Amino acid sequence: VNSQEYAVQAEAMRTRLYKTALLYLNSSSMALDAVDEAVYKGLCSCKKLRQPEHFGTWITRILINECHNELRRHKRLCPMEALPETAAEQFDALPLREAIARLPRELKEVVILRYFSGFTLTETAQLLQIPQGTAATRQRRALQLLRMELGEEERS
Amino acid sequence: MNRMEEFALLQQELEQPVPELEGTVQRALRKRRRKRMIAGPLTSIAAAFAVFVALVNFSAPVAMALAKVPVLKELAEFVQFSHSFTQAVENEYAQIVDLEQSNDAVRAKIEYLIVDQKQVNVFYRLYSSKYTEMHARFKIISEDADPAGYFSTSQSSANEQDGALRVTTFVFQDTAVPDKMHIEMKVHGSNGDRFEPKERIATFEFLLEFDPNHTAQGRVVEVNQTIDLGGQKFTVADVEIYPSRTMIRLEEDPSNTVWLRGLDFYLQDRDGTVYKHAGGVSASSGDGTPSMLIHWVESDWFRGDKRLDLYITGARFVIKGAEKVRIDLETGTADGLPEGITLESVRDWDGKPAVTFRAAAVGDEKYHQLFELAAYDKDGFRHDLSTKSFGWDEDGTFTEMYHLDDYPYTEVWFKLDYTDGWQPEKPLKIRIK
Repeated sequence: VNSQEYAVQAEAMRTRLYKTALLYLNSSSMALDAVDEAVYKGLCSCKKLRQPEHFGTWITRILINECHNELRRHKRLCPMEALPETAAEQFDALPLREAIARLPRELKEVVILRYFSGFTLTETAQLLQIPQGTAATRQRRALQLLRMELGEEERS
Repeated sequence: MNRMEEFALLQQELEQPVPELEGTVQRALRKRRRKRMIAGPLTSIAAAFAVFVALVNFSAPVAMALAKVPVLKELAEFVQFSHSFTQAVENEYAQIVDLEQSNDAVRAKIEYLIVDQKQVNVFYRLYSSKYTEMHARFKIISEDADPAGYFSTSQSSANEQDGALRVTTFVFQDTAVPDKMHIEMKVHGSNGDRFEPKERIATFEFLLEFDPNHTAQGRVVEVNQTIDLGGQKFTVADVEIYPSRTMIRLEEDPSNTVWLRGLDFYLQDRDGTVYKHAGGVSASSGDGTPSMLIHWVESDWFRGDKRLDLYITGARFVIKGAEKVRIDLETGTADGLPEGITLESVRDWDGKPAVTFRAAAVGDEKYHQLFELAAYDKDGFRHDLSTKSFGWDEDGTFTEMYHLDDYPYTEVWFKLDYTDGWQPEKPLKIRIK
């Protein structure tokens, strides 16, 4: 993918990237920074992307890394505790957005990518570099904790 | 509202347009162009700088000559707020650099560095004929930088005079300062806006190279003493002493019913010299806990290896599970406030709501932080706040006003910095060395 093709595709993806980052980070300013950085890093390495049809999963992977970076950097000053999977009642008591933000990282990734970023289960598994069965298990567990009744292949 | 209704509503909210996303790709393209353009010249500047630093550090005549340079006198005046920085300048530890970037809106200059193994303090100036208030945010963009290994903090306000010295600090909590690092400076500007400037007016990049003699310095003193703070158990694990700051590391007992959110303390050496918080970052959390277990304080580095004692005069806790307070902005009422904090007012301030709380001061401080600088809405979504203001009275109480800029709802949640406090009858003394 050359720079011009990249610019067109990144432009089309920016809102979707922002939604993903916003849910991940639960902060608009951090999400904007993460999207800026991901789009820049994607631009620097877009020549390495040989299959343009994988652009969406590729740039989202970069974004997720940036979200982890933002979260780790921010956590030191304003730590937010992730709730353990056993804390079902506490998840129930939280508004949906905060409940998602406080899911254990591996469950949060799957639920955001599947139901808010618009990726299929197969794409989500590829993006996170995990087996599809593992992605499905994490998805089921996240939906149980959030008490959301969504189908296996339902997309946003 | 059930979960599926919440889900549908959240999907709708996420579809709302976000004006700040305009220009995302253009910014990336400009940043790449800038990086390519400055890669060559910066290397040359850095090389010259390295030679200059070496001269300053290893040549006494050069260092003495520099002490008479008027610009260092200005730095010495500027750093009077910090005992450690003052000592660093007096001991010719500051490094002079001359890095500059500009666009048609703003010119940024980095002039001095005070660096040790755990911190990089960058002294810089911003000039602009277009903006009266400017604020810079910094990030390390070196390819090999570990984003989890540091955080940055600014100790300068937005309304500094044009061209005034400012300082920002990079703190490396778990890793060591590298020999060089590439940093990004994002400058935001406004005219006459009392709140933190929001319009991004420039993004600059600088390469900072450090003298390895500075980045290698540090002393670790093992303490391993368990202490009881009002029935809660903590261990003072160790103290790390560096030229620009001292880091005290605590560990918490998992059976504690509270998180540690603040510690009032000071260090005192054999001569009676007292070392306190120095502004900027005063505490940060450990891994996987909301407790503030790492505490930063002024350093006695330049005074040699004298006896040092830690005196703890108080602690602030948040009871596990009782962190949030709800404020109704229409009725001006609060739910969940702990004893000792009252809601003073909910008022209109420049057309935006401002919420003021009152509490008693603790120890020698005239005020302290009551809440995290963020507002949470009914969905638990975090809205970063840019400004809060303090006031204090002679009766030993203080007020803290949170400005809800761009907050559209009629109820708001704040996350308490503490719900409970502890103060000993006399300071708790721990021998450090």
